[in-house]
Amino acid sequence: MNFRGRLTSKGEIIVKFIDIIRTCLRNLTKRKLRTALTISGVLIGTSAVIVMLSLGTGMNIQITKMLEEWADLTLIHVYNWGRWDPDNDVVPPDLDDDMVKTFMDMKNVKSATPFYTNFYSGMQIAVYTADGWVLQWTPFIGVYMDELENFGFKLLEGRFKQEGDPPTTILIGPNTGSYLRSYIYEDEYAWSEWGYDEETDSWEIISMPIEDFFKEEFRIIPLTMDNRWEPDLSVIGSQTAPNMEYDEELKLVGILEASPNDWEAREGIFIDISYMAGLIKAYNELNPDNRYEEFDGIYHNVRVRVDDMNNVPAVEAEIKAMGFYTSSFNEMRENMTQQVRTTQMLLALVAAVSLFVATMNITNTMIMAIIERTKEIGIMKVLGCDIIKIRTMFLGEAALIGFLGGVAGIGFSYFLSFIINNFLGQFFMDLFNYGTIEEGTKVTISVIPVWLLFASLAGATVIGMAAGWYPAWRSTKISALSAIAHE
Amino acid sequence: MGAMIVVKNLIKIYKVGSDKVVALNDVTFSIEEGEICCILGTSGSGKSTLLNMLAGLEKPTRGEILIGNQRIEKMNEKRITRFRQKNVGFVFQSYNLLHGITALENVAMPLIFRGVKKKKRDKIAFMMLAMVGLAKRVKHKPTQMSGGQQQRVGIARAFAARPKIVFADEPTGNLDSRTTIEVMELMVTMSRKNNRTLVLVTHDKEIAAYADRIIQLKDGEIISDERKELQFETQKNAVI
Repeated sequence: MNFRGRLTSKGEIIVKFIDIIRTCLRNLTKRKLRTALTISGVLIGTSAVIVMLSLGTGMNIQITKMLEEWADLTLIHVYNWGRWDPDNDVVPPDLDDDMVKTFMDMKNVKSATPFYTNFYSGMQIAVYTADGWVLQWTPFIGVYMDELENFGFKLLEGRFKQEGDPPTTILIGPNTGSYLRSYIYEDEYAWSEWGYDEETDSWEIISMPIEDFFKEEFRIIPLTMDNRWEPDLSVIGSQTAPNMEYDEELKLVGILEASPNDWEAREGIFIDISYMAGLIKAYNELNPDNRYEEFDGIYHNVRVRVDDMNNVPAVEAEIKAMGFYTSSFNEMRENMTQQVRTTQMLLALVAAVSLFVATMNITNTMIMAIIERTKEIGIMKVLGCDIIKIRTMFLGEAALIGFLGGVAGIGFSYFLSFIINNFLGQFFMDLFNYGTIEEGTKVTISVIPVWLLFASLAGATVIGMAAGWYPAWRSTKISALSAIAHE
Repeated sequence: MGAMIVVKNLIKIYKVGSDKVVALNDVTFSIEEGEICCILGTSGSGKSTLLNMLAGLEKPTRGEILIGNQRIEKMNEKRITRFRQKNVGFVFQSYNLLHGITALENVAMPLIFRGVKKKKRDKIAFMMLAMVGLAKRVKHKPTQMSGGQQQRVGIARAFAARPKIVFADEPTGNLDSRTTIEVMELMVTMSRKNNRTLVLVTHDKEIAAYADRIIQLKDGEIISDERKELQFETQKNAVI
């Protein structure tokens, strides 16, 4: 005769698990309304938290998208102003070709190039066509021509500069030469024609005064300035003017693609920075009274291209540590994201309160269930049900309430998210204190990331179990003897 | 045939406020395997207390309870629960069936606790119910049944997990006299058929007559212990 209790086998555990789930479901369906109400509490709490967090996620995506439209998020500007600032702790080294090379070799840096444009300086260099037109208001940009491709520029037509191309090789933007002025007949101009493009919903150039750039012969000449700071266009084409010894033909090899916000690339002429240095020298020789600062191998501005916007802070910090002044849109993005995060946390906190109330609701429901089922628990105990099983049963019920609430909450969150994205966009944009949605633009403000789904399911289940902990513990303390006497 | 239950110098004292009430005063006896034993006594005689302690639902103040050579009064709650699960069946005065579930599920319940798979335990439960004459009522809930039927479900449940001992606490207390006879005969037959030890607690001498042996309690002490040897043998033979 063996009276010892057998050890529990693996098979028994599985049987027990299935039985527990079965029992939980049966008990929950027995009190349908109460179960539904308790689950609704979790539903509201879960979906509130999900939606609040989804708003922040959506807003951050929105911010990045918006910044990308009018700013280059992987670009760092480096200036050598740091050396003139008496408060600067570190005196930066020379911002010369070697330094640019150092930048290029840094981790996560794709490319770097000095960037010099005459547009800010008032220095007048004219690019003109053989048939009588000067390209007016055209920025002339000195860069490492070999780095353009690495730097992320894309071609619309033609090619990048290759080995064997002369130093006078240029690339231009899509809108370069949209405004021409005659150097033969004073006050004669030629404009490009603009039209409304329905497809892109914007105004665009539909015809340019120069039809085919590759057929045109472009030349370059530094101008002399008169005392009114007016460039003297009459020298162009005059074989006797002193400028003529600097007059050179340019070789156009490609047209760059440019975003609407990158006006330099859109309207400029790119040329090698060393050629640019020669041009400044030539200009200074022609204008001894209006000299412009020449390059002595040190650049004012170098631009650094980082592979990913998330690596920008690290690269920027490294360059800053050398003593250089830098700027990028990263800081702005971080400020905006930080603000969104703060608002998001506040909202999530409010949402968490409803989840907390739901938790108490589960506890309450479970205590009620245990009081109701005191006799049942007693009978089960007398019939040999392990305490652990009774506890597991109640914990399981609470967890199931949480889990079901979580599932329903996710479904409801998608519904809310849909409503927000389609009808409440502007309201939430105002709430986050930024931007106006253009009429007719669809803005996805609420984005539910996949990890949030899993996290909220797990979270709701854990909350259910936490809420059921005390009632489950109480159920094990019920005395079998008094429970069976309980009517 | 060995002693199934051995009780030695069992004392139970309840504290009611500052007063001490002696429920059992130095009780000693033993019950053989397969014996049908009745503990007879009036209300307050200590018979229910004794049953609770035999079933491990209460701990004695002093004394020993051995069931199959195991000291059950020394077991912790977890072990005693496991012990009950494996070795003990119960029949209660108020049936104590779960109302939300069917007769079949009620009978299968002790088997759930033992980790028997659903298919197998449903089969066993059905056979048990058939044995007590309720084959057509397996899907009924206790609330749809008469008292006698409910108690028969209770008996089926008590025997379902093949326990060594079945305790019955006033099993016919809520039944009319005709049903009482039915139920008693059923219980005795089931015990004999399966060679189970049956411990019956009652205040009713007519009920006690079904037992092989009657231990009479009064004020927490045994006042008589009668064995009906002859009847025991003949009845047993008759069944076999």
